[in-house]
Amino acid sequence: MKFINEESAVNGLADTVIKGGVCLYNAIKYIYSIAEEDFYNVSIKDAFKVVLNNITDADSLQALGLRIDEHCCGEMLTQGYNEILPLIIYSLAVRLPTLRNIKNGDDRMTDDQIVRVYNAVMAKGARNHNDIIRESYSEFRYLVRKGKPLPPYTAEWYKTYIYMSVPTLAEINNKNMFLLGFADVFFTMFYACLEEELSAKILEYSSRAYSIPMDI
Amino acid sequence: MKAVRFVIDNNNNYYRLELAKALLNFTEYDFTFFWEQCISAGKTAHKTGRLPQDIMNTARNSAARCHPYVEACLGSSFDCIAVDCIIAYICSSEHIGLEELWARCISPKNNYESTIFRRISEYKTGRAVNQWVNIVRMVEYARKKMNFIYDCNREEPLTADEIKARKDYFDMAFSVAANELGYYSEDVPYVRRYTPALMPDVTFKMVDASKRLYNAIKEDIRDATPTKFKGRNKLLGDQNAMEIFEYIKDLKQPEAADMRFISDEIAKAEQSVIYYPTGFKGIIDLEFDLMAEEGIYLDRCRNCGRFFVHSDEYRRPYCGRVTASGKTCRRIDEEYMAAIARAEAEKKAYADAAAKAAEEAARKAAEEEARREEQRRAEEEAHKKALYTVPEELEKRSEKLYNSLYRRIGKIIDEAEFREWSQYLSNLKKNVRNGEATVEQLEEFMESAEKMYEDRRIDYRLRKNKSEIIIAEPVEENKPPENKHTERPRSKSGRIEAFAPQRYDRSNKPVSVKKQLSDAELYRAAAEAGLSLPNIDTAAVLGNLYGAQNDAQSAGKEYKPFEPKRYSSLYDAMLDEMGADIRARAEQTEEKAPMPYVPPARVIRKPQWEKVSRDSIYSGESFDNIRR
Repeated sequence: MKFINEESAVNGLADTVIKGGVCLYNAIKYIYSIAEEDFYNVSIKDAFKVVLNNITDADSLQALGLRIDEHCCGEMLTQGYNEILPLIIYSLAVRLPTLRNIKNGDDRMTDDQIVRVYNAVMAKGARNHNDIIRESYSEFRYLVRKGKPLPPYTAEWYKTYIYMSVPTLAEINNKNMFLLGFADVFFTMFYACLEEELSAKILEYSSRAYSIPMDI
Repeated sequence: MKAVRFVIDNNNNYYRLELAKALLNFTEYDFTFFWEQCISAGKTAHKTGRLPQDIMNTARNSAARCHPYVEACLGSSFDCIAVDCIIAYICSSEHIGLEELWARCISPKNNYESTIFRRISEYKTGRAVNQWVNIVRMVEYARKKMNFIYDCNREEPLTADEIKARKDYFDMAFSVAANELGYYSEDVPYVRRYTPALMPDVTFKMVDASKRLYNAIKEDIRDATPTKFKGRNKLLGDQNAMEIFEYIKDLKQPEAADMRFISDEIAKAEQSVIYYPTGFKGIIDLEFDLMAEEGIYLDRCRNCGRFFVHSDEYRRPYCGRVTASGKTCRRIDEEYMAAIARAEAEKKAYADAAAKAAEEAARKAAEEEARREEQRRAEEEAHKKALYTVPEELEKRSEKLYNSLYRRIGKIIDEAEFREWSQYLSNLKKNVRNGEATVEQLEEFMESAEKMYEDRRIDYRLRKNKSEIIIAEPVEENKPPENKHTERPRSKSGRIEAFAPQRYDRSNKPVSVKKQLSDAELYRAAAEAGLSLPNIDTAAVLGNLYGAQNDAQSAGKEYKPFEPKRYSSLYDAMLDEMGADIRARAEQTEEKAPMPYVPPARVIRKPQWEKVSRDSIYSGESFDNIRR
């Protein structure tokens, strides 16, 4: 795909992926805090709406009165849980080959462009801690190239990591069960929205190149 | 006006609530300026993407003046009242709900949308309510409650018992409705009552005193671990309190200076009782309650229709507000009352004058009536007098007739008959004077008596002349004394003897009849003697006599002389004469002549008794027959 500024486009897409990962990471914390005091005050549906409409800005959830402090989600303020963020970004980065399916006319991103985005994301700190995430960039690139169905973005690796590395969240209580329950739905929905965000970004960068007014 | 102090959450200030004044100001507050400012700010923010803070602050400050509670909460719950007003305006003008507006602003593109999104999110999560809508509804609540309690159609104000009953009725109805709708008492606003030292957050409200006290107890609580939040559970309240008490149970009495310092700090609250409302409704209800306790009553002005505080000095239901005419309602009422008083006075004066005139007229009419009555009575008296008085002429006639008859007792009338006649005359006169007989009746009697007298006198003369013709010389020795009326026979002792007419016997004298005269000859002789014959045309009689004599002589017939009708008594003669005259008059006037009263004959009839049986009496048939 031809961008007016390919470097900017690559950095912009990488930045979006990273922001999306950070948003997912914070959104989980915000939604987890619902279980502390606002279980009957805050609708999780509203929280999903807010996050999915602000895919790169999880702090929008503060409008619902949610906050991520030690009182509300002290269980997540641990070193083990902090490793979740690089894992989330990595889980998103390995799926970057799906960007090849986004077309602007007949134009689409080349593998080289996608790799550069992947490398930029990985350079920002994404990593697969303890190989928790089974998927890999090459695997997804292969599936995309062959046109095979892609596995859905799920929270299986997230739950596995929690059970393995975050005992405070692995404990069976109301809050933790709430976390593991909404995570399955939330991860999938979030990735779908992130894909749309990336598509919009790619089209935005490519539209600028051809001076085509964008109307989403 | 009495005032109380209240505090609110998250605020260390004390606020003053003036009873009745705050309520009246709130119910009558004009929010137009606030509304216009909010709409202006919203339109500006829609264009620029940023809310103009100056306009928003102006609007907030405008709204804060509606009630002390709003003013107190302006930095907390009522902080976003202008945004609330904008949201309400957007929803009402665009006919959308909060959910749609929230979704519209869920990815805010500017500060304006972000503000709206955050505010609606607060609504959604129960952290805030639309305070503008809340104020509007609270105004309606306060007005409705005020109308319910204080509205009165009668002139005199409500009593304290009536006001209390109405207030209790309203509050009870609210509580019942809340219970039926599933709300607990804690779910609706209420007011807690504290002394300054026991207030929540007193450590922040009285910082200096709290520090001084902390120094006094810090040795005991130094090693205590702060309690982790356990959730709000009322059942744990006493347990929590006793755990706290454990740390101060060894508290010793401080020195006098410390004690005075603490008491001075607490006295700064300027109130022995501090109220702690949990919501707007709570403080409005508190105001109603305290007004009733303090005897502050509202009343609706009959002129402008607005409520005002009823004072004991002015009991009329008119307020002191200035109206469009530039006068207060009270002044208008006073002028109106003065006008009414003047009109009443004029009316009274007019009525008095009319009454006086009527009284004067009545007095004159009474005088006139009295005069007329007097005149009528005089006339009546005169008439009665005239009616019941025997006329002088008639009196003279009766006297003359009496004397004439009296002189001729034994000649033309015997004594018994005279007495009877005179008695009748006397009675008739008496009856005329008493009104039981009329003058006409007396006159008729007199005429008949005079006629009788004339008849008898003529008869007597005729008989006398007849005798004179036959008798050559009257018997002198048997002549009655001439002064029989003047001299009464007296006894030897001088006592007047009873009247006894003398009788003269002429039978002892021989009467030689020279010739037997017929009646015609007698009449002729009477005419020649110059005697008048009543009711007899002498000439005609004579003519007839002569003619008849000639005829009789020629025919050989004899004519009988006139003989007057004879009666057994004078009374019968009078009745006959009077009856004939009355009958004649009745025939002339075709009216029924008054008949002398004849008492009905008494008829004794055989009683018609009906024999009834006991059964018929009980059955009621007999009574029905009797009734019939």
